[in-house]
Amino acid sequence: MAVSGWGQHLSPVRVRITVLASLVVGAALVVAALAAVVLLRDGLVRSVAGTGPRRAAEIAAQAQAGPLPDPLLPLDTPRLTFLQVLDEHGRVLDASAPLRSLGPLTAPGHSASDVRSEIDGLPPGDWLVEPTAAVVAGRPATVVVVTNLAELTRPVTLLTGLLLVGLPLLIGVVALVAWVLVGRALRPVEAMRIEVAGIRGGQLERRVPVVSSADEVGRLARTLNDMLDRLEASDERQRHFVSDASHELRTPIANMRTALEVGEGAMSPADWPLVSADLLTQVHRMQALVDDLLLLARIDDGLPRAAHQLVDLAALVRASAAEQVGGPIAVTVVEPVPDASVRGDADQLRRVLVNLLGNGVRHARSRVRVSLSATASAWELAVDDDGPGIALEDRERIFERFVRLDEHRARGGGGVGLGLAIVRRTVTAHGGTVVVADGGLAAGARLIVRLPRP
Amino acid sequence: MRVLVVDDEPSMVTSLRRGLEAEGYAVDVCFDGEDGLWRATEFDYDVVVLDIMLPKLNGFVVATRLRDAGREVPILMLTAKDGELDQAEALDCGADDFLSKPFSYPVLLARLRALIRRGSSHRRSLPVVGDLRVDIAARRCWRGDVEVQLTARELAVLDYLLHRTGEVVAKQELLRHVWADDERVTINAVEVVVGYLRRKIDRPFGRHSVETVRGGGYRLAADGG
Repeated sequence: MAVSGWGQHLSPVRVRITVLASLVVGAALVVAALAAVVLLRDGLVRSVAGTGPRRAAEIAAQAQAGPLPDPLLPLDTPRLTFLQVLDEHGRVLDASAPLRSLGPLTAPGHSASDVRSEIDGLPPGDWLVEPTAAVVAGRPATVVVVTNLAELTRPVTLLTGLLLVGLPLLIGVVALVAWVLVGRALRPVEAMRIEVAGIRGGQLERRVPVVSSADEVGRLARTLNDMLDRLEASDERQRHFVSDASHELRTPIANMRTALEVGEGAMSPADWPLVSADLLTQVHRMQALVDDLLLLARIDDGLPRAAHQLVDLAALVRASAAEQVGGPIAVTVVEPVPDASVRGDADQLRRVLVNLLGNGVRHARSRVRVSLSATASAWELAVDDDGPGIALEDRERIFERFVRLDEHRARGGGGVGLGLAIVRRTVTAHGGTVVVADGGLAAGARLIVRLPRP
Repeated sequence: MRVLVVDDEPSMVTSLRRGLEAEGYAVDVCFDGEDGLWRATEFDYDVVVLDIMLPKLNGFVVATRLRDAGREVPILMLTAKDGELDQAEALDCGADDFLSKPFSYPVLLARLRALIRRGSSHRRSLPVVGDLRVDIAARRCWRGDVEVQLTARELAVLDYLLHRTGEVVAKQELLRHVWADDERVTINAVEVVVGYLRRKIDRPFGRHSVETVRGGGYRLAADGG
């Protein structure tokens, strides 16, 4: 897939990392190089520092044994070191070949070394002049060791030259490698970004490509895909809901329209009472549905700020049960009813009770039992009926919207399947839970609502 | 014409029954898919109005199984759900037409008429046989330029015969398709109505369009008699 050329090349992250890496590596290399050069020079210089006394000792030993050798230096000494032997007055006793014509290089008794940049008879460059006191042929003498520093420190020059060329090259390589690697690492990220940016509402089935699943980029890709899964599922649920809601709303409207259109052609005054009764039923049905849908929408938005009053749960239970008196199903409240109150919206909680009891009554064979009890942290409201009960696989499903378990029932009698959805949403918004449990009447259903005690 | 309405909404069913009967149809109703499938398989209908959202078996399944059973009866499907997917699926399952709820009742009537026509040899909305013309929607009938006043029942019989022009229609068949189940009538009623029909459309004009076929049937002459 095409990735925007320049934009990606000049990505700030890439530039930043490359520059940083180059700077850090460059600085470290420069410091190391400097140290190496200095240490090498030092080391080299120091390696000849001890030559003076050693040579002096050799000469002394030689002189002890006989006349000074000629040449003064063994032939295999490289043109690095030359000697000059001075007597106690500073006169030249003997010297290596190139120095024969020179005067004394130091004063007698002078023992400090110094560096001279030019010495007659010797190639130009730095020379280390080290006088050492010695005893030659029984008399005090000074052995002066002259070392070619330039020659000695040639490795340092070489090294410096190499470093001057090599260091920039190395830093260049580091920069290049960093650039390429970061680019390679970022490419899938950019690809992901483009893919996700392109996903619109109708394309939630698209996913981000997962290239290397082991590293951070791969993990990011998988996490993004998980999120897209959740979005798609949520979108799907939303679409189902809208579809179901539209069906439930259109049905009573269709009923009314057909009743009226048929009436336009084929109705006599005698028909009107039946038709008007039917129309009213449809209107009530739509009204209940619209109320339910609006309530769900409102709960989804969160509890209204004003609705945090203390609600007398016990009173609600008794009142809801009392409403059912006189119907075909006997609704009993288990005594004693504790003095229960919760914090929340009184209307919504009343609705919960109405829905639960309504559900119980609809499914019960002959009786419904309501009980309120206390646990350590919550109030427990149980509604039992002696109807057919709820199968295990349906126990979560029934709380979804527009789910009706008994398809056989004529539409007029049952609801549209929003009652328990409203119960669950309301209870959840109040910080509680509602579940289906075992232990109802006979084999019937048992629904338990738990609400936190204030 | 005999129509089967399969819908679980009592209000809709009541309205449709009233309306269709007023249009001269014999109407049977079912409230769930299982019942609807059984009825449509067992009996002959001229058209079936089938809702999709039904208890026990949904409309798609009913239509599919009906076709699998070899029943070619025209099906008009209804639904209140969204979507083109429903429409496509309805037609794929074997329905002949599709209406979304809420629908226009006059449109429903027209589509039913169209579906019934499709099942017959007539293509035009005003079936014409010779100089005999019937406008079933307006419930009028002409022989040439002269309008003939027919009762709903006579019109229904004539309409049915018209759709089977040139073919022999058994008296039993006329009975099934023009009278509702709960009207306890015998073959005699058919004979009586055909008699009246002839007296109105044939006798005054000296024509013999409604022929009696020995063996118990009638036939509308292909040339209008």
